[in-house]
Amino acid sequence: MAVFDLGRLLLVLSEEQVEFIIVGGVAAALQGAPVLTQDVDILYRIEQGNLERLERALSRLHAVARGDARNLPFGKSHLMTTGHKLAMTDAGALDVLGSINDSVLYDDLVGSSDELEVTGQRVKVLSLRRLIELKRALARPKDLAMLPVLEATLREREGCTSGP
Amino acid sequence: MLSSETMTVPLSSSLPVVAAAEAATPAYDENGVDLSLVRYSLSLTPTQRLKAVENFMNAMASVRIAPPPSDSAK
Repeated sequence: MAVFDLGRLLLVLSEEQVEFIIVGGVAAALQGAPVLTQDVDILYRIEQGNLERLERALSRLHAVARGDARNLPFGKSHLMTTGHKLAMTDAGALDVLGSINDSVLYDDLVGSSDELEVTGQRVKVLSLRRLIELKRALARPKDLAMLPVLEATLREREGCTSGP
Repeated sequence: MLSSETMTVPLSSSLPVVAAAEAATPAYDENGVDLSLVRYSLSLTPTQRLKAVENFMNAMASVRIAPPPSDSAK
C-alpha cells in the first residue's frame, strides 16, 4: 500500500533546489483553509537549470505519469511545456504545472507567495488572496465551489493578529 | 456531587449569556461555512495542516485498496 509522505515530497524538491510555488488545494490548506485534497499542485519556473533540478527531483521520487499503465517518467522536453503533468510519485500524487490556465507562470505568482516553514523546509505557498483571485478568474464550478471557504478563511485571518 | 444550589439555578438565567456568546462568535457565515472549522484550521501550524491533508490522502488510499465486504459481513 502506498503511504503518502508529503514531507518527503517537499524535502526532495527543496534538496534539489527546485524553484516552485505550492498552489491549489494544498496551498489553501497550508494557508489555513479547512479543505482537503488528494494531490499536491506545484507551479515551477520554466528555466533550463530549474528543469534539470526538477527532473532530478522527480526521478528521486520515482514520478511517473498518473493513470498511464506504461509508467512513463517525465523528461526535460516534457517539462519545458506550460501544460500540466499529472504524476504519481512514491510520496504522493503530484501535479506539476508549467502554468495555470496556459497563461499564468511562476514569475507571475512568485511575488504573491508567502514563504512558510513546512516540515522543516522553507517553501513558497501562494497567498490566500491571490488564490482567491485566480479561482474567481478561472470560474470553473470546482473553483467557485471552494471560494466561500477560502473567503471565510481570509476574513477570519484578517480578524486575527497572527500570521499564516 | 452537585450541590442543591447548583441544581436549582433557573435555566432561563443562563440563556442570555449563551445567546450573547453565540452572537459574538457565530458558528456559520452567510454562505454556511462552518467558522469553527476555519478557526480550528487557523490554530494549527502549516506543518500540522499538511499532516491533516496527508492523513486524508492516506485514508482515501486505504479505502481504495480495501477488499469488498464478504457476504457474511453484509
